[in-house]
Amino acid sequence: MGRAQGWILTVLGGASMLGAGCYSGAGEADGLPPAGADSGESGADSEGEGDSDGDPPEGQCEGSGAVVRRLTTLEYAHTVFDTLGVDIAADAEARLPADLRSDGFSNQISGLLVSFSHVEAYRDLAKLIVAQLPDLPGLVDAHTSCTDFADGCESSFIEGLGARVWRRPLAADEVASLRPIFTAAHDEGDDFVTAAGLVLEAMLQAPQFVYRLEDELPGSGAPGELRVLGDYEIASRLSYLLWSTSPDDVLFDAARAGELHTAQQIEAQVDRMLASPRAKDTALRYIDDWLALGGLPQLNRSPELYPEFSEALARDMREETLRVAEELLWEREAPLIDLLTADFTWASPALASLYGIESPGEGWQRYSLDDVPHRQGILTHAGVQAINGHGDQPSLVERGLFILGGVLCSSVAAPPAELDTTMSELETGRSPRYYSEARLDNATCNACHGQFDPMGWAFEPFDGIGAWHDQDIEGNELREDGWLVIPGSAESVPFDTVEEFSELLAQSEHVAECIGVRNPLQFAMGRPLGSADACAEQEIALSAAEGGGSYQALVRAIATHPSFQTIRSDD
Amino acid sequence: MRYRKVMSRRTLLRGAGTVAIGLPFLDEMRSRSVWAAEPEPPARAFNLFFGLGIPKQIQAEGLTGPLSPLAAVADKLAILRGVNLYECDGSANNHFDGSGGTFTGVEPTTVSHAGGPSLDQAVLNAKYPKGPDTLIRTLMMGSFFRRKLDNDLSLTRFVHCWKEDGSAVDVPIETPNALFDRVFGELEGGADPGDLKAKHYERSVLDSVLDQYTHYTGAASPLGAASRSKVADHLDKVRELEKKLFPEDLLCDVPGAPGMLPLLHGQDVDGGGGGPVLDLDEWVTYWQSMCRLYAMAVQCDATRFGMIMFQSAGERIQLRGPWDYNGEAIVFDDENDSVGSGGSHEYWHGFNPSNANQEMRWHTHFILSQLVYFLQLLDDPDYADENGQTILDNALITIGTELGNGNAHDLESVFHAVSGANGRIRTGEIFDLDASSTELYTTLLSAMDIDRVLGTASAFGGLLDQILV
Repeated sequence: MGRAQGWILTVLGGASMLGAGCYSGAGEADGLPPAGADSGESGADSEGEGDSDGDPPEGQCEGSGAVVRRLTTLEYAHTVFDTLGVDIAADAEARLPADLRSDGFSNQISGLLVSFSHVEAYRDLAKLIVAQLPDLPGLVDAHTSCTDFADGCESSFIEGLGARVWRRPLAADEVASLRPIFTAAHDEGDDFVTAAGLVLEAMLQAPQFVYRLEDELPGSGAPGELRVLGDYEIASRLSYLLWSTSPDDVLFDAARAGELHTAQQIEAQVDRMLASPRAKDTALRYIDDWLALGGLPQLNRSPELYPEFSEALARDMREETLRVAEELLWEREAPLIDLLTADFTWASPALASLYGIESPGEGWQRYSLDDVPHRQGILTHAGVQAINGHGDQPSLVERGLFILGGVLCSSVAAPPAELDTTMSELETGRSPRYYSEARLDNATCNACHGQFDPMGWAFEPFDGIGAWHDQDIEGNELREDGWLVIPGSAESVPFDTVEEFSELLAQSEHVAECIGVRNPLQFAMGRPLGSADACAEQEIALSAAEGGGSYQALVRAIATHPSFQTIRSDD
Repeated sequence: MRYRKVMSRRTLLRGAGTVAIGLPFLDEMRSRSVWAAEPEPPARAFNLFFGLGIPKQIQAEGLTGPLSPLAAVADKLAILRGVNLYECDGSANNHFDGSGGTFTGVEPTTVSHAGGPSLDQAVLNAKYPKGPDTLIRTLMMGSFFRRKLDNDLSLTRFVHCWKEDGSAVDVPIETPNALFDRVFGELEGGADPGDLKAKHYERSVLDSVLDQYTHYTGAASPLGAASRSKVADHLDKVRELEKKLFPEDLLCDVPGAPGMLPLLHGQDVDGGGGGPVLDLDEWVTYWQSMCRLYAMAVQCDATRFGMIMFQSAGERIQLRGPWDYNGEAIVFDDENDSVGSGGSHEYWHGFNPSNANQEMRWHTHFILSQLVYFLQLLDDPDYADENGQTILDNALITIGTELGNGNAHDLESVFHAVSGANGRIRTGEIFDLDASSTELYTTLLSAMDIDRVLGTASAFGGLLDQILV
């Protein structure tokens, strides 16, 4: 089994989610930065990286808000493997605190905090990695032709290994800061190889490894000014965006040759990298994170109410959605919005049973949903319903809020001040919709609940594990009709069934933009989009649509947009 | 009398029981030690948070009924009524605006990002521009369960230490074992001090790592301010690692490690629906062991800043078990109560000044009693500072919460209280202020001789001189 397939299994095995890299900053509105624009990278005593040929581009599409991102746990593990050939994934998963889910994803800057446990873990992992290197002497030989404790040998080793581990050439003072480790080993009577291992330990804990560092201040040092990235920085942006890992040899060679900054050069790399299974892994990891499917294996459900539920079934639910996404997004390169109306699914025998589908009894099967009632598209997947139900008695409010946020990219305004949320006495034992309609009859409650409750109604018949019921345990009839209000529109569009609801959403340009551009762009950028990103987002959306609206088209659009090659701090 | 002690860190006193914490100094150790007397108490500031709030009508009853636990420390606190957080009211649900606004005075930027620094961090940055010379820069602890908004973490629910740029300092530690490890645990994987070569290498690698972080946070850093701040956090933690690997000023007696306590925390607890069902005695045991560990960390001068939290913003729990409510034996039975089974905070939703609000009163009493437990630990005269006053007397400990009226989810009269800050604040009094949180926090900073408006500038109309000595 190739490692790429291993990555898929890692996703389904409950590993923490991975972020794809992207950018922050802006570029020219009407073209690319001039060829050979100033690289300005720290430490870049560059070899043909690109001469400073003109001023950095200024344009209308200017982003801001550059904040450094540390590697997520999975990016860290991938980077270690691709750089040093050591599989540290299990140890990293065990020792590093889980990446926090924040702002809708688990790779956002707001959630990528560093605690003391991280620092301890990075130290422990660095030692483990060095100990598990397949060939430390070979690594030394690869980066230096001599192993004397002398300036030339030490520096050439540090420069050689450092350029790979820190993903760019080192500055002279960086090299100098690592040489005392050689001195220590020499003083202790140990050999060059021992020292080399210690140097690598230090490199692996340093910010140049743990963070995706980019120079944010231009050559002038002026905060808030636009800066054009260097080729090595673009190499890292591409590798983390597409493959969730450090640059490969091809990217490094292109950066070293100064051939990684024109649109054509970048697009050629994107096409190459999209052809790899690693790109598919990243795409599916995005879907997994967007839909919060990582919570499924830990879902608690009452065994009395849900005797058929198990962790194995929860894992099957996760796999169902990812298999459907794989077929649509990767094999067919369909637009992301087609996920809402997928007329097929994949199911294990247990999941098929939950859906009332007759299965051959073994193994995963593909099923047409044409004759399966109530199932069409990912919103009707059991896993999506279960994870958004929030409890044994699922909340249609929570499901409505999921549509509002995750599918419509909107949010609800605060309840008015001095809101009296007491309601007059209601009958007990009624359906969730009854209570919801009572809320909507109350003008003050309706101000907020009217924005999302009627969408949650579509899902009332799905129970806490996503199975369909025509009646609840009290004998109330459950309904699936409601109405959709597109944010910013005064019109409400009614629907009778959950399938109709999915189709309505799929026809909406607003939804297409949310699902097809905004959400994946936020995942790629590692932060929510702000008003300063609107211009770039619009251009990227247009470009992605022209390319067919697929995930691949979106990635191309992101990587070839001028904003991908620029950065600006918010100072 | 408190001194910074210099003694072997290997002098361990491992407790025999499951929760053997809080061992006193031993006189024989004291006599063998070298002492360095401190001229005056160090600046310390802690944010003490509790979820759900106390409606102003309940506050108006004074230190009776639900607020009666505070009577035990009333002479050490200024009770502050009429602190409004209107300037923190933004577009989010007021649970987040209130919780993110408490201790900051600013509307949060998002549900996971405050609008500015918290009070403790403002004091830290002013008093220790290079960082306090303690093992841990900021220690964050809490016992809580509600932490999400939909499927995401909402940091404003449960974080109350925010940096200058409003980003979270960290997430709070929520188990006794993790708190013990952070403060007192010996580092696993650290080189044996007897192995001089290994220690030499450890030092050498660490120095190089520190160099890199120092460069990226220094004047020559190519990073903007926000990124520098993030890397600075990391640098602090690497320095903490350095102090643990190469201890100089060593901590006081290390207590026995807590045994496994029964209460599940974190992601193992399903925070959905009505929240977890909690046995009162179990929870109290758990919480109070955390309090003792935290207090010990302060007493050992391992930390001077941080947060302590009992129940997060919007907390939902179903409490069960007996409780003494001002001499009346009551029993919490939220699971079987039609309102409480929706989570304790339904009692707050249902608050009506005309009703008895019985369960809400009981819960409030219970919450405040747990806060008072912590405060009393810091009032231990055995750990008095050299000026003869306790840590509670000398520190700036600010109690805050998230909401005023839980039914209205408003930000009017959000309950606060504050300790004396070494004689600078008028303790032993109840104040009816009608002030903004910005005015309060700015006043507290001025009491610490820090001249800065903390909060929202437009909400600052002047210092609250009446609470100052």
